[in-house]
Amino acid sequence: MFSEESVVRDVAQDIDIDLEAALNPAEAEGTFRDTRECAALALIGGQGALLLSPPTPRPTKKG
Amino acid sequence: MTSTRLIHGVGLRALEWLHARRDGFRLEPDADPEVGLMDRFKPIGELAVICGVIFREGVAGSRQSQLARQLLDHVWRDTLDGGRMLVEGARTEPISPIPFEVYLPFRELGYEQPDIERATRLNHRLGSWSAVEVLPVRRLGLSAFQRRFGLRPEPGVDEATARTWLARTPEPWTVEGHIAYDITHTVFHLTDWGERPDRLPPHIAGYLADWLPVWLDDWLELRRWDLLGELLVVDACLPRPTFDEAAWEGFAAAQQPDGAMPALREMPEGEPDDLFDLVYHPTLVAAFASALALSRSLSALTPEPS
Amino acid sequence: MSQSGLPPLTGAVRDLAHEVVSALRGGGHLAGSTALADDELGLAAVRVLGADVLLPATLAGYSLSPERVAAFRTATLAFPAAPGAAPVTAWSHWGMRRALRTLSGPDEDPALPDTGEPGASWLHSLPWQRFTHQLAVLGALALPGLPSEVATTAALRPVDLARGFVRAVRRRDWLQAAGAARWLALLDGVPDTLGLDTGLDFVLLMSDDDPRVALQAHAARHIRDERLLDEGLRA
Repeated sequence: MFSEESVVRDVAQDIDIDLEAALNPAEAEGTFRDTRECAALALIGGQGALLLSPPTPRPTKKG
Repeated sequence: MTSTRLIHGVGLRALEWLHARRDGFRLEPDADPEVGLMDRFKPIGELAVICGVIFREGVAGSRQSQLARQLLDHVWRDTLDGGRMLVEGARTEPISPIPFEVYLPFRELGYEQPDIERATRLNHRLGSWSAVEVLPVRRLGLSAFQRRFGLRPEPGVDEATARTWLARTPEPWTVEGHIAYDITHTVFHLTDWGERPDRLPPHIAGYLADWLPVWLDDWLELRRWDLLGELLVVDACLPRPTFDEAAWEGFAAAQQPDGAMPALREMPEGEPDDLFDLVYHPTLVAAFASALALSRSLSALTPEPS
Repeated sequence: MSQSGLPPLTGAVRDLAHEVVSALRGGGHLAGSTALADDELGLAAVRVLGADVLLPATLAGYSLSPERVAAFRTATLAFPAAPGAAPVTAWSHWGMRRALRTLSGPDEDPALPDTGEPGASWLHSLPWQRFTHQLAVLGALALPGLPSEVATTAALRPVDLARGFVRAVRRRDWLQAAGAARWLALLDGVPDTLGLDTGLDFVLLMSDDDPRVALQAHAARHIRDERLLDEGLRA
């Protein structure tokens, strides 16, 4: 058995644990999503062109 | 509440950039046959659609109207050679709907090319035109364009609508970039580019009212300005637009001092023609979103005539 | 189960969450219940999970060992919300005191007097994004039959919470998504198009069985199943 008071005191003295951050967490950063969309947008270009669909990436000029 | 001044400024600057870079709306007559002439019709058709919106909404200042008219005259007369380049495209690929799609907004603004009209009427009688396998949202666009041209769409607009992603109102948390573009285009076609917000079926309007705020928040955070601009158009097509302040302010802040709107994140670098191809679309979208949102916010301030 | 590479408290919270999920899913058996929380880290972990440590009893009706309840009480005493603490900190502590009272009957615990609810006015002005984040942190308060001003406020904004769930899924913030889903499971007025059932499964799948996510998601499912059963019985 442990005495309630001693546990409370020990814990209160220990500031090693960032309890407040765990109790009141900031929002996590959003994970980047849609990474592949830019390349894939080419699929709706060309002959299937939709008016006002995003620009079709065009071949870059060489040289 | 987003200020109308901010919304107006975005559209004016965008149009000034498009006007100054109008030579970017160019054809490549010597294009590789694998690419074809019609690959460069798309920006021209989009320009005509947006200028049509600007004239229709009538909220642009006289400077904007003048720029829009000069742009249209330039691409019709010089780039399309009075529509003859559309005819050439149709001769090269007779079954393609693209010359018709690009022609229609010009026709609605008073430009005419009888040969394209003949080809369109013939194509409309072909089983092939209604059978060709395209994405549901594009099929809806074709049906909507046929209706606007005065033809009886096949399939009908309602049937074409029912096949789209949006009409089925699926789980909103599955929406990623491609689906989001399908959503925006379904709304564009259903409302005739924002002219008829009342044509949005109530279940779609309600679905968008619930979830559009999330998508605006999401693509603002991702700084995908092209898509964010299209979503701002969708907002302006709703029965009760929100004119989302954070989205509009972020969108306006992304615009360059000369009016160019990057497609995502920062402004790219490159040769003038390459740069035009990269940013003309989000810049047109900016002009579109501005004209429509401005019109809706002003009409919200004015009591309906009784 | 130990989690290498995690800060000690994070690992301890995950271990404890895993244990609670097992109990919630596995018929109330509490593996290692006597070992609960008699060291400093263990007590802190109990404080972080808060009233959810007692979820097998408060939600599923299983009985808990007196030792476990006593250790929970010790953690409640050890980490009171300091004056001026963040509202979520004050509310999670309120949730612990409240859960203890539920389990130990009507007699007041002299060490833990009923000081009433901390107040929820901070929630009222929050935009839906921040509102959902705060509610998700307070997922432990989302329980059938646990009225609070937080729950009352949540019930007024089901569409905002549903938007927050969608946003959290898109941002891959699975813990926030699961916490929001738990409130949504409890509320009326959530748009049907949200797809909460498949959404919960999606969150579980995508979160790689993170025990804290699983705890919220399983609680949400439990609450939802009960509601559907109630509605079925009423119909």
